Amino acid sequence: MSGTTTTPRQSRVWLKFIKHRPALISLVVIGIYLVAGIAVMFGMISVSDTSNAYDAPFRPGFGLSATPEKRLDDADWYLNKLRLPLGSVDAKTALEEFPVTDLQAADRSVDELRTALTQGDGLLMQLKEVADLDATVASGTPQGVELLQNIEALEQTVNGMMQRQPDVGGFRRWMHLSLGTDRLGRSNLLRAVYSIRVAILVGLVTGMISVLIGTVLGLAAGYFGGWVDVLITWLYSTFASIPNIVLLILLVYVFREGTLDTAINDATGGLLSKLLGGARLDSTLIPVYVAFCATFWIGPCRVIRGETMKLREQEYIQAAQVLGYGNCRILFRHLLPNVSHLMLINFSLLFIGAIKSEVILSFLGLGVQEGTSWGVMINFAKDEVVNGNFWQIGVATTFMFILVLAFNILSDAMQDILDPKHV
Amino acid sequence: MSLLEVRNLEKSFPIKGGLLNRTVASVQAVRDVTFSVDSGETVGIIGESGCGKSTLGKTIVGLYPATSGTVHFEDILTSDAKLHRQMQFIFQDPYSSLNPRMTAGQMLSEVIRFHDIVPPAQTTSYVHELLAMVQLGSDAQYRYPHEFSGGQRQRLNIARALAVKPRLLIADEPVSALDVSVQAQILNLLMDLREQLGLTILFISHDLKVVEHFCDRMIVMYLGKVVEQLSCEDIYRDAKHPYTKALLKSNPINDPDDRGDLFILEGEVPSPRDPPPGCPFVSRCEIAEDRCRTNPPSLVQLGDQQQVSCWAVTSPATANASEG
Repeated sequence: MSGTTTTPRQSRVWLKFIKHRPALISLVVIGIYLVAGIAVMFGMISVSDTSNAYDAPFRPGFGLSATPEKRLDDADWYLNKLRLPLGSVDAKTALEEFPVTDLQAADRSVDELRTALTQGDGLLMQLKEVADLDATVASGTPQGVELLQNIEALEQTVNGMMQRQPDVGGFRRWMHLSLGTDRLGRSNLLRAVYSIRVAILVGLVTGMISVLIGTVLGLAAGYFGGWVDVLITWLYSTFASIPNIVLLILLVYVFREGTLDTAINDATGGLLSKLLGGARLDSTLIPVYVAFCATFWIGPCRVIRGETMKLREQEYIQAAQVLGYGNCRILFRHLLPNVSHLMLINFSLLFIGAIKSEVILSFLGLGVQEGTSWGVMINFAKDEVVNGNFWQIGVATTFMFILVLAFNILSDAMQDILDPKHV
Repeated sequence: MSLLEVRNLEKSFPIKGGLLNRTVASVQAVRDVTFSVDSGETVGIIGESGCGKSTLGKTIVGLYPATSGTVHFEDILTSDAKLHRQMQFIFQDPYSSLNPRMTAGQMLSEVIRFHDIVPPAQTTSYVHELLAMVQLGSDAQYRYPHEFSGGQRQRLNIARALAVKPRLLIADEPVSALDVSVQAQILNLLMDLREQLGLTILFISHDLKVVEHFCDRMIVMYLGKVVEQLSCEDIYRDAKHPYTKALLKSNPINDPDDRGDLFILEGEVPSPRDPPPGCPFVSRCEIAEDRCRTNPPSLVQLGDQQQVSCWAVTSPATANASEG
């Protein structure tokens, strides 16, 4: 018997937590995510950062350090983009209806642009004939220096044909390009960081609310039995029999209609539009929360109901009844701590589930309406992956993976730490 | 006036089945039990597994609602009143009867605060007092149940039950899950506390020796019914009912010269779902007669302290007549 431990409970929990290295590391990781999420919410990374504000090449891949071959490819790509409108009969209109939305031709006459195109093509052909461009440039011989000058001349020509914003440069540009860009030249890193906001909101909010609802209903059903149990079982069986995704889509569409906004505003004297700052419900994440919480509480409810039914027959619950404790005290002081491990497991499962479902909803165009999310990124990346450009899907899933892993490790560790039997 | 008065107490558990979840049968765990316990007395309830003795205890304390019959505590109907501070219960299993997520101190102070037993400022000192009463050190208050041994856990159970200063303690096989050496410690502790606090104890057990040693009076139950009540002074002399006698004979005797084969009661206990119409013990009784199969015998007062429910004991004359 370890008879001499007289440490009170709280400090023991802290000691166990500090000793648990994986838990500490996970907490730090989650902390970094939270800080990033809060930074996004305070506008330090804005929606404009997720568009191509830094004029990166409009193609997927790394844009930070380019080999001469790649610079050549980039220039080729730009020239090809402009070749089509410049070659057409009504070049001026064609330039205005430029094929890619974010890209604009420079404010120059068509003739000037055509001259530049010919000039660029000439330089390009010349450079393409060099057998081993990368090695020659790297060698630093007079020929290499000349080639490098030619490449720069080509890039200047191309740049002259494009409308460029002033280079903000520096750290932001580095951030923009460091993990590559997608095919619209948008930064993978900034988009992934911006998505943390949605992940944390959707994951945490739906996870917490669902676990809370599921726990309260599960405890009540398991402890009281009888008609309470029948009612709650009926409720979750009914919800469970509706295909999850269909219900989500349905709820999102209901919010989209806007009738709900009007109804709430009419009933409360415009309270909702005041709260949302004039925005409509479906431009917020609220439809996603409601849709997820409506189905996600079933899992924890079922599990906790079963566990409560088991614990109800334990003698310490009977002892509490003999001592005259009220139902509330028995439920929340005696039963709840003994199902807390299930709450933690279910929370981390739902957290992951919410992010995954958000991906599906975003894929269907029903999820995040403003800004971006990992789901939007993964959805957008699916065309790029076919061509072997895995940067975007790689970055999005890595961000998701690290957060989910940290969360699982932390909740696993918390179970051990909060379990008094675990020394 | 007796402290506890149990009158015609019945408890049956419905068995539900079928498509509409209707009650198809019921397990009659406690059938027509009547007895009383005087203040300061220790009464043992004895019987084999499944005879309804634990159900009886839990029905008295209000954990199960009685199907019919009444329980009076000092002339107060227990089903109407909150008697949590008068009657307390000690559970059989020292492992599942303590909340694994609460330290001993939290558990005891919760009881004390909930029932406002001492002023809040004195809670800690009262916890120490309680722990000292059951011979546990005051550092035990910081420990979780799993850090205690079985005997210490049972002491904690006793401390929790006694925290409300009850007058009646119902102990449901408090020592049957413990080692023999620890059993003796717990029994001695209970005896000391009984004297110190003037407790009345209803002691439920299947161990004849423990009951004989610990109690003033014993109630023998079989298949939900009381078959005999007798004083514990000399049970070998007084026991009249064939079931009590069989229990006595199946007990090992502490005498190496008298070592023989133990008596084994033949047959199985009938199902409480479908008890026999006559005497509950008839299927295993050595002296069963025809009338035992059809007519249930009632408890008959024999002498000052004894009640027996057996035709052969209470009216043997008729037995002879019917045979002759």
